[in-house]
Amino acid sequence: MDRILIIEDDSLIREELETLLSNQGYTAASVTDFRDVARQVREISPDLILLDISLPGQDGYQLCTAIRSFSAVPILFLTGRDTAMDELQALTLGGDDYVSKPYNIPVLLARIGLLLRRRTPAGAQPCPVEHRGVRLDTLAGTLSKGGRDIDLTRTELKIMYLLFRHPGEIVPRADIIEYLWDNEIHTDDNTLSVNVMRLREKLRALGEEDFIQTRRGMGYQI
Amino acid sequence: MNIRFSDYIDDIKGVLLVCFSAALFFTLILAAFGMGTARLALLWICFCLILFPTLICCWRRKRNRLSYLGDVLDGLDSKYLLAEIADAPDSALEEFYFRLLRTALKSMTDEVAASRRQTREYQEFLEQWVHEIKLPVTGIQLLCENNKTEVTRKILAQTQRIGQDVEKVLFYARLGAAEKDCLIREISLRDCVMDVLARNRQLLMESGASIHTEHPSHTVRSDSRWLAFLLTQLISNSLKYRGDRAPVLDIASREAEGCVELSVTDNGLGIRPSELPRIFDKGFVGSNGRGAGSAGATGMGLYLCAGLCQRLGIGIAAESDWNRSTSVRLYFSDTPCKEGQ
Repeated sequence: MDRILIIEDDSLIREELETLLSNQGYTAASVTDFRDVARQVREISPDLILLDISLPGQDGYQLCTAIRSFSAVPILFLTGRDTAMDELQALTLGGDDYVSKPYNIPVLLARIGLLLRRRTPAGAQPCPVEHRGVRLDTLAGTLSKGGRDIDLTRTELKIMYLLFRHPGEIVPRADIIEYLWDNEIHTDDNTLSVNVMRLREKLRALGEEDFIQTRRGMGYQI
Repeated sequence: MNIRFSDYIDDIKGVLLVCFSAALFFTLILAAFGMGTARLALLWICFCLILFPTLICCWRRKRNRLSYLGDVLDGLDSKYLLAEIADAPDSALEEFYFRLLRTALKSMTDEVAASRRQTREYQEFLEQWVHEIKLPVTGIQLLCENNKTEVTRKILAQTQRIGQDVEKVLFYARLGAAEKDCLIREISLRDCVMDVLARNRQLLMESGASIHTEHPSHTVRSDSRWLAFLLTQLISNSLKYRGDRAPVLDIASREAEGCVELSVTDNGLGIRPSELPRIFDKGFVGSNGRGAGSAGATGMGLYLCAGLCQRLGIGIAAESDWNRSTSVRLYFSDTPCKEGQ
């Protein structure tokens, strides 16, 4: 489990960031006492630091220099200031990346993931997954049942992946669309319907008639 | 631009009048004492021979002095320093004028300095304020993200709009120093477009937009933040003036005439041909902006874009099929290639 340390003086943002990161499966800790932050960092020894620039006492730049003197932990600057100078300073002082407020949350999570992966090579994703006899192989991009494979397009694969992650639950259409957006597929409502229709046809070819159910006004369910 | 002889005569006509009336007076007296006409004529010729060369001489001196002052003025970058730079005046009258000029210019420069300081303070306050307002906006975004419901999705879309408008203020405040505040790098248009779309996804999703971004694959040398700002403005315009149809956005890049062209095309209301030449003007609000359902058009968005493009050396041009589509194109080049308007 990756430990992420949040150094941010606004308490609401700090708490919500903690919630966000715990929801994503990280262990989040945060600094609440801004005296001698460097020592706290040394004690906690996190895998990643989210660092705000405007802090009481030492500012983020100084803190970054201080942390760099004893640790090579990835540091991601989060800040409201976003002039070219700020960015340059953040990166030259040993910061690894830079995200400006207001954050775009998927981008923030993607950057965090990237920095952590750079540090520790990720293990293989839990894959393939199986539900009611149908196997989804995300690496090969196929659906299979009884030894028969069917290739999926990128969009179809993403939709199936999301449904397989929530077996038995109703996944709202808005969630699916949002998930696709996070994965750089810009989908509207019609495109989603068309894709689900095509998925149903492919599943029918595998002999699964009602694998994906439509919950009218709510979403889809497997 | 200089003084003509006739103007000079006009200026000193009082003195000339006195001269001639005195000459006439003495002619009459001499005639009364019995001097002959031939002698009087000789005296008059002598008088004129002295007077006119002197006049011409004086006029030329004045003209030279004025053309010297004109040259000094043309050669100066800061024209208000004229009185300090020019040679010392040679007449008491000019000396007096110089003093007046100096006092007037001094008071003007003081005024300008005060107003400049005021502008700078205002700008600093604005930037400060923008950074402060970003905190609660970030807080709202995180809150909504952590508590996803139908309502918070809508709130998120609205905060994205606030974010866009706040950005607009910030970039307007910084526009004057855009050259100083930029990091020109090799950037991928695809990454930049994807980033902008992700930043505004809630708005785009809510409007049901379908987006085609198959082609932006080129790299250009520019500043990514300013470019992102430009694209955000263009996209937000496309959404604002979409009409009744579901918006379809096509963002594509291609190589054309030695530069890379990035175009944002929508299927919205379009721009009337008569209004097209004015859309980049400050404060221009066309019939679309005044129409129902698009309240709050300020005529600033495209003006900011055009100003920014000029500073970054990007060409910008718009074309439109009224009621069908609008396409705004950006031209990137290492050497200025196409001045669009």
